[in-house]
Amino acid sequence: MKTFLAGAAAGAAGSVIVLIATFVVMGHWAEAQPLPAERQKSLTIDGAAVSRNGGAAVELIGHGELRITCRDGCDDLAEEERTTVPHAVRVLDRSGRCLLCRERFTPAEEALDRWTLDGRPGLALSGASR
Amino acid sequence: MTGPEAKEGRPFYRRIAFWGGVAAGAAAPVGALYALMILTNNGPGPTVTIAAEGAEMTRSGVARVRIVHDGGALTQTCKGTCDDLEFRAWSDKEGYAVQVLDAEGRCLSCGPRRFVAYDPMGLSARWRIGGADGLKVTVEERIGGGPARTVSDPVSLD
Repeated sequence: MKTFLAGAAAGAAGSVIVLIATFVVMGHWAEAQPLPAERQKSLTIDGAAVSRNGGAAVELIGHGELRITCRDGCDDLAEEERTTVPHAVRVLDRSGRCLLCRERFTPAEEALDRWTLDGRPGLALSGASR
Repeated sequence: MTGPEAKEGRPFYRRIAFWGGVAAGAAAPVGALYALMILTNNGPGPTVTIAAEGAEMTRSGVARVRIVHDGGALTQTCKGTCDDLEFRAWSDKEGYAVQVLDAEGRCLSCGPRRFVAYDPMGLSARWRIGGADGLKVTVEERIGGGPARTVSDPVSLD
């Protein structure tokens, strides 16, 4: 039993030392990384275009999770935010099918600041630089 | 020499009991950390919840709802009947305010900014905009898993 307890003490001490060392190294590594530039980003959603194309709900995932359920014509949405990543955008029809769903953005797209979702002629999400 | 005598004569680092202890001892802090991570992740739900009933907002002359936070703002502009809105966020150490505006941009309800924090003993706030008998903006604030404290943001329908 004494041998087991001695082993347990050694194991626990070793484990704690390894964990602390890992956190210290990770902390220094994180501090050494350059901070991503925060930029003002915007996203506007044209409710009339969403309605015209059969949209019944809009979901916007970014700072939080927003869902609007359209009544007699979808509302306009506008988001202005200091952020480093664009949002996921989903336009759904009455049966919950995706009419336009963008879940991922490429690094080149992430650099764009001004996003618009409108209908010309179909639903389209486009980004531009300021 | 074989048998128990030989076992007793082995140095401690060659005994199974020692290495069993090492394994158990090493696993204990890692297990405790893992349990803490699970507890933290499964602890609080969203720190901000906003639910707005479009029909009641329209009846009360609402034309715009703004969710303002420290990082920016989100604006819903009604077209005809206002849409129902649901918003959830897991924000940490951030202020939130909800502004309910009429067509001229006048505040029907612009309550104070409320602070939220995400951790097991955090602060959360829930706004409800609606009501069957006239527009009401109700805010529930909760600390950790404690009881909700209900406050009402005044609504002006002059």
